[in-house]
Amino acid sequence: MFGATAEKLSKASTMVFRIGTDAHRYDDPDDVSIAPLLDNKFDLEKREALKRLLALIAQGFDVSNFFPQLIGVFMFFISFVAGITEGFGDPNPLVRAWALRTMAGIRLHVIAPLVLVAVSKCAQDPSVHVRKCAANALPKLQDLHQEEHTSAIEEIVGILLNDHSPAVVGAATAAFASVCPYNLSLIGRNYRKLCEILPDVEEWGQIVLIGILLRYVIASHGLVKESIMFSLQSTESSHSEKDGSDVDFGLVKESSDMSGTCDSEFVNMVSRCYIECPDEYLSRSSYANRVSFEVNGAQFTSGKSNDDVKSLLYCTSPLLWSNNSAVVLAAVGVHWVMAPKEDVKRVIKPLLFILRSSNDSKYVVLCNIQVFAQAMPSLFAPYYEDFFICSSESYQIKALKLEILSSIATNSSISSIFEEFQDYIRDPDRQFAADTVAAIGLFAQRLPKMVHICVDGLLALTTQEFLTKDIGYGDQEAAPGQEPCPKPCSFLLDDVNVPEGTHAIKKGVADYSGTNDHGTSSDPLDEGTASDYGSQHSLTGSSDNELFIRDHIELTLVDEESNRALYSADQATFVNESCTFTDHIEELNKEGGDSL
Amino acid sequence: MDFGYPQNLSPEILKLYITQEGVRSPFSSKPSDKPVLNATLQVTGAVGWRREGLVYKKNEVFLDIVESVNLLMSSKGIVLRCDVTGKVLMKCFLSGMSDLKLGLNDKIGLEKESQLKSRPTKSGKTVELDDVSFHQCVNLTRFNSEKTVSFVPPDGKFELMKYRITEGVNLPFRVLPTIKELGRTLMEVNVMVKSVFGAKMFALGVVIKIPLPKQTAKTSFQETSGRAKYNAAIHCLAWKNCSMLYSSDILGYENSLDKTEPTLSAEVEVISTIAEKKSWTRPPIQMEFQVPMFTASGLRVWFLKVWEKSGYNTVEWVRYITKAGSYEIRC
Repeated sequence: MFGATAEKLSKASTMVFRIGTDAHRYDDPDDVSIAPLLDNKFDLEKREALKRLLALIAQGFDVSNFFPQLIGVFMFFISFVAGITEGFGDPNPLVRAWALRTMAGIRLHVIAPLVLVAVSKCAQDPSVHVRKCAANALPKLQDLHQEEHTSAIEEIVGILLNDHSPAVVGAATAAFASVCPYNLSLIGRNYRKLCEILPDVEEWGQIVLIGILLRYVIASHGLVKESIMFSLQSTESSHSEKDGSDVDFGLVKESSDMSGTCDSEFVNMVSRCYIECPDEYLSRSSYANRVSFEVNGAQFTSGKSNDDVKSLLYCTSPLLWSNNSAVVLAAVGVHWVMAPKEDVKRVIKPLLFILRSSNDSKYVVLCNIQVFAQAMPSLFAPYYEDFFICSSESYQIKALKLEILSSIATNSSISSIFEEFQDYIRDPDRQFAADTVAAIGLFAQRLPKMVHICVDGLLALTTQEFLTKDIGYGDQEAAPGQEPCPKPCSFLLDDVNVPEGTHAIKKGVADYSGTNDHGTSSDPLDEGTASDYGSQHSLTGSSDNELFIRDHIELTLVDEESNRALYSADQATFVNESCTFTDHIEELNKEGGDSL
Repeated sequence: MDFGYPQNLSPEILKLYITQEGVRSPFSSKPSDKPVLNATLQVTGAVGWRREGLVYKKNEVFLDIVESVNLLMSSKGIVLRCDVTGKVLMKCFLSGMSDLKLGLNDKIGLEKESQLKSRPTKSGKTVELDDVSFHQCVNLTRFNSEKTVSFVPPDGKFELMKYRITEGVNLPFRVLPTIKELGRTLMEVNVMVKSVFGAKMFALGVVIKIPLPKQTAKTSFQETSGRAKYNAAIHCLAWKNCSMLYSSDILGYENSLDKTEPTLSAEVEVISTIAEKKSWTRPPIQMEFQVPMFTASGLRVWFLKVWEKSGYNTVEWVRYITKAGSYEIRC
């Protein structure tokens, strides 16, 4: 029965579009006998037979009766390997290199010792190309996961790292990063030489090498006292740190969740995440330490006196002019972490240059700048114009630029930034326009002196038609941050038809009044009717209740310092009520700032 | 690529791998006169971007300095944003492994050179490079210490460096627009262009795009030179001047040929729509042009030295061209 169905299947398979794949070989095990095919002198037939055998093995059939024929195939394979090893003796370096590459490409455990011997021989070859191939072969060997060879592999990596040719060193660092990234003693032996050869290594090698050298310096000497990293750990807030490698902003986002409350713990964490590879650090759940190069507690060193740090900084500063944006970013990272604060400003210009010139890496560079700007906004403040937004950019880039702008705005630049924001509000993407309004709120929080400009701007926006709940969110942000400053309580005009908008406004007011409350808690509103709202605050007069009940709510601005006028809506009837409202508020404020 | 590690990234070498004809095996039965170009040979050298054993009968180097001027001018004629981004492109046809050194008239480089050689600084215009980035072949450590650009060039075409200059920019064109709205249906547009580059220079491909409202019905224009055409698809009046000689120098003296500045005056009829709430926000006037043998920044090549162990003579050619990047004038 099996045979019959198998026949049908094989017929069906020829009809179905599986010509050209090997799938049909799985269908019929008792098909054309494989043995004569193996004995066939043509390679094509032999290959066909081997494929069928593999299909049988995959299905679990016993194929030991084919053993005599397969011996022939194995003999062929062994002579193939012998031919390759002959190639190692060839005078042409190309042939030697290709022989090594082929050998390393055969990923069989049996010949691994052979490959190891070949690699160690080629590591001392006079030709640069052969040594480079040897370095490339090492990760392939390591991939076979044979424990007995690991130390030998690491030794060869060490030899190749000491090479005087930059091409070989580049390949060796890539091998180091995948074979034994924790074995920083190998780096320590050749540290000076590696620093000096760094500018000559080719670009991909440079990126890896910078990361490794930075990790070594931090592991052996700790963080630098004069650098930004040190000053960050002494502040209370949880700033996120920048890691030393180039485009791994994943690490930045992860570590921004951790707050640096305890001093030595923070530094320990930072040091540890540099000593181990960023990927390893992220994937580990426990803090069990498997590092062979220990860091004892929180170590600090002075950048001015430490030669290793100085040579690293000196050797990476030429790389700021490379045309490869990843290299520039890696060099910027090193300076950010290790350089004294006064010297960090020289990396800003190259960083902005790659932001301007390379469209592909814009997102990555902006992520990094966002982290930098949160730590030291004064560095970027003069260059705020570079973060103005083009309408053609994607949403993520626009959002990042907005965040950066809100961190670096100063009293002097805010007026021009505001003018730009006028245009951003008109953007057809409503989410982006909402983000812009939120950014205005953030300005108000950060720059208390500029609050009246911010609120003016928001008010100007409310007199225009196309606004919705966005304003509510903006004021929500603006409101909680100010105690002695003017207190904006904004209510939207009759154009608001979004219930969440009015809810958000009321919530904002409630939250705000909650912060000024002495003891009484003001619960956030549910889908409140105005009467509910009124009842929570018993101090409110009844006229105010009526005020809130109405759908049309006017705009009110109370400015303690300047006692500004009211902006009222169309209905003039509201004006009287609003005057009483203002009086109420002033009374209440005089009484000690109670709720509305 | 080898096991995920890139082997060679220089496009000059990778180009050799892409063949348009078939690659003939050296063991094939038919012998051919032309030897097979073995791309793998290039990888073996210590320098990853230049292969050994190059031979040219005539050793030549071509330098192209291409600049893009970006301008944003307000309606009152005040420059809001202005910068020049430039590229130095090279084409090298040199034998052997030659060492090149390029000298530009940038302020820091010249000062450093006069410091090292204890010579007085060269007189003449110097530019200040705000940002700069180099090709992989340039020796960056030497640039860091001596501020000289020295390199072993790849063969053929490549981009040597990119730079940006913000100070001391010579704007090649001044556009003076006047737009008057007479009532709700008529608009009068008057645009005058002044070219401010030196004598004996000319501009190619000058196109001035004047944006008009979407509801434009009819346009009529007179121009003193070139051709104007209304392009309804992009709502612009495109005024093309295929080549424009300089019309007045900066001091305002009349030139000997007594040419007036190119002017365009147009009358635009607009369909009035009753529901028109906002007035038309005028997008800026955009300009395109190419000015050969002119650099808006004033960057000049002082010298280009070529060293090779066999000591041959080389011929060097330098060419400058300034293009319009985003050249916008608000009106």
